[in-house]
Amino acid sequence: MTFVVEVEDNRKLEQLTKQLNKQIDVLKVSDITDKAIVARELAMVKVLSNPQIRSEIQGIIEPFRASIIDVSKESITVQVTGKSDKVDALIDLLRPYGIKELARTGLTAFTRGHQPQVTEFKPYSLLK
Amino acid sequence: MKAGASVKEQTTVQTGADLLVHALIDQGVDTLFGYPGGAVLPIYDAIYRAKGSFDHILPRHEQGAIHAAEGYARVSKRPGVVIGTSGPGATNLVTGIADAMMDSIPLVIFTGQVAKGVIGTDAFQESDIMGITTPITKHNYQVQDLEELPRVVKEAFHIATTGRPGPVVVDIPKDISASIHNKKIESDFHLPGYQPTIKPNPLQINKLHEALLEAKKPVVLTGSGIIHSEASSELIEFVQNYQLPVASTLLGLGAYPGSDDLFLGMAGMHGTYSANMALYECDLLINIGARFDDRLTGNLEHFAPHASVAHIDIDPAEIGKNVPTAIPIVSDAKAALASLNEKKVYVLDHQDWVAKLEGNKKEFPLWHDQPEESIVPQWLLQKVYEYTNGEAVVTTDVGQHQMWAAQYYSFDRPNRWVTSGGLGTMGFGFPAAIGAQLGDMSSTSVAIVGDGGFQMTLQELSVLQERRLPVKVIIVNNQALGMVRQWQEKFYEERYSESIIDVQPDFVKLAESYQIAGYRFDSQKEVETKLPEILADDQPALIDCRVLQKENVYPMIAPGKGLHEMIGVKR
Ligand SMILES: Cc1ncc(C[n+]2csc(CCOP(=O)(O)OP(=O)(O)O)c2C)c(N)n1
Repeated sequence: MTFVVEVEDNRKLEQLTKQLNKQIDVLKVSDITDKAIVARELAMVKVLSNPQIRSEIQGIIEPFRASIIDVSKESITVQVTGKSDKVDALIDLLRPYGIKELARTGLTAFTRGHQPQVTEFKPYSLLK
Repeated sequence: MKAGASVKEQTTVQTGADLLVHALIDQGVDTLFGYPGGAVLPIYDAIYRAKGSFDHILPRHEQGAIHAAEGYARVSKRPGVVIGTSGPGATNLVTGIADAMMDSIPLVIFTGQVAKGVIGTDAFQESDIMGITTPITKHNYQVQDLEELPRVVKEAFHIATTGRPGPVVVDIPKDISASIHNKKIESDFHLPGYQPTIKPNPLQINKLHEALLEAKKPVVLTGSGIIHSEASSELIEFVQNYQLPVASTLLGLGAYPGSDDLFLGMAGMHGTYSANMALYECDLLINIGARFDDRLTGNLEHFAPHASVAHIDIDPAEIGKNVPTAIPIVSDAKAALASLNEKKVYVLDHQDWVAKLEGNKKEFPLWHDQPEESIVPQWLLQKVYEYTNGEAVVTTDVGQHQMWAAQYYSFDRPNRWVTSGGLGTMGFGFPAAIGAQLGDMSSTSVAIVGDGGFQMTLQELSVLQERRLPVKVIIVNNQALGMVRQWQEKFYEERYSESIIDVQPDFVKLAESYQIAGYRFDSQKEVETKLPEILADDQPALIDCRVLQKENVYPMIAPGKGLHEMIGVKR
C-alpha cells in the first residue's frame, strides 16, 4: 500500500512510521519520500462533449498521453496516468468543458531499481 | 441448563465451541470471567460440558467481568480471559478493553457474533465489534472459518502476553461455534509482522553506561514495564550499584521498594516534591518502562529541561513520542537491566545530588490536616497500610482516594497495586479487587473506592456474596465526586456543578442485603478499634468511612504547569 501523508515534522513522521509498524499484520514500512521513485496515479474523467468539440478535447489530452476509453453522444471518458500534478493539470484543462464524473485512484509508487548513493543521515531512523 | 443423559451423549460431538474450550485448556487457562447470551450459547454449552476445567466467574455486568479480568491479570501475571455475547454484551466490554489497552494489561476477550450469513444485516444483537475495538485493542480477529479457530486462539494469547501486553479481541460468529467438525485442525502460527525486540542493542547499553558515569544528577523513572517484565530484582541491583535516586509513575509503584531511602515517591500531577524536582533538575533521566504520560510530565516544556533522556521500552512507538530521547533502548526491561548489570560498576560523583534529594524528601514530605475526631482520608489510607502491614493487594477506583492510596500506601513489592491509570475508569476498583483476589488467594484484596465510582459497579457485591471472597471494600465516602469538586474549587471558583451528592444508599444495609458484613465509621476511634479486625478476617466486608468532604489532594501541578510549579507543597 502507498500512502501520501502530510506531516508537520520529523517527530510526527517517526510516530506515524512506528504506529504503522506496530500493526500486527504489517511486515515492513518504508518512507520513500526522499528516495528515487516511480509514482503513478490513474484518473478517469467523464467530460461533456459532442462530436464538434471531441477533436478539440483530443488535442488537449494528447500531450498528456491520455486516451479516450468511452464515447457516447453527450460525453467522452478520458483515462490518464502519471504523477498527481500531471493529473491535476489535465483535469484543470478539461474543467471548462464540464466534468460529469471523476475518479482518481490516488498515488501508488515503487522505489527505482537503482538508488543514487545517499550520504545524508536521517535523524529519525533511530531504532534497531 | 438441563443435565442428564443428553449431556453424556453430546460429549462425543465436537463443535467449534469445543475446539475453543480445548484451545483454552491448552493455554493453561483455568479462570474465565464472562456472561452468557444468545451468540455465545454454544460456547457456554461447551463450558458446561467441560465442567471442572474452569472456574467461571459470573459478574452481574460485563464491565465487572472485564475489570475483574484486569485485576486478575495484574496480580497473577497471567492473561485475563473474558467472554461476552454479541451486541450489548460486547459493547459493555468496551470500557474495560480501552482501559486494558492504555495500561498494557494482557487480556483475551471472546465475543459472540451473529451468524456469518447475517453479519451486516443489523441482525438481532449485532454490533460491529471489530470496527468498535480496532483502535482500542492490540489486535482483533473475527473468525471466518472453523479451521482458523485453534490458530487464532493461540495467536491471540501470544499477542496479548508478549511484547508490550494488551487486549486482544476474538469475535466468533455463532454458526462457527455451533458447527460440528471431526478432523484434526492445525494450530501452528507464524506472525512475520509481529516480532517484538526483547534484547537491547549492546551499543545503546554502552551509551547509557557511559552517560551514567558522566552524570552528576541522574535519576531513574520506573514505569509498569518493569512490573510486566518482572524485572524488580534487576532494577534493585542496578539502582543499588550506582546509588541512583528513583521516582515512579502511578502504575510503576511497587517496582522499586517504596520504603527504601533512594525512593523519592510517585512523580507527576500529585507526586511528591522530591520526585518532581528530581525530574525537573536532573541531568540524566533513565526512564525504564514508562510512557511519559501527560499526568506525569506536566507541561512538556518544563519536563526534565536539562536532562539527557535514556528510555528503555519494549514498544518502539513510545520512544521519542512525547519527550526527545538521546539514548533509545528498545528492549524488555529485564533484559536491558540485566545487560546494564553486567557492566563494570563505578562509584558516581553524585553524592551532593542524592543528599539534596534526600533533604527534599525530609523537608517537603506529604502533609495533611489532622483534626481531633473526624476521619481524614489521608490518615485513613495510612491506617490501612499499617493494619495490613503493607501486604495487601490494593485496588482503587478513580479520583481523590486513588491519589491518596498511591501517596500513602507504600508498596515494597510488585503486583500488589492495581489501579486504572491511563484511562482513569471510574467503576474499575471494586471488580478489579475481585479479580485480584482470585489471582492471588494468599493475600487480602482491599478495594479503595470513592462513593461515586463504587456506585458504578457495585452490583458485583453479588460475586462476593456467592464466592465469600475475603475482599474488603473501603469506601472513602466524601459524599462528593471529590476530584471533580477539587478542580471546581481550584479552577472554577467553587462552582460545584453536579459534584456534591448527598443522596446515597445506606451502604451498610446494601452490603447486608448481599449478606456481606457492612460497617459505617464516622470517627478515627471507630477506625482504630474496628478496622484491624475486619481487615484480618477471611470474610468479605464493606466499610463506609465518612471522611471530610473538603480535603484536597496535594501537592498538585495545575493543568498546563510544569513540574517545578507545584502548589500545596507545604501546609
Ligand atoms: C467513567 C468515568 N466517568 C467520569 C470520570 C471523571 N471523574 C474523575 S474523578 C471523578 C470523581 C470520582 O468521585 P468518587 O468516586 O466519589 O471519588 P473521590 O474523588 O471522591 O475520591 C470523576 C467524576 C471518570 N474518571 N470516569
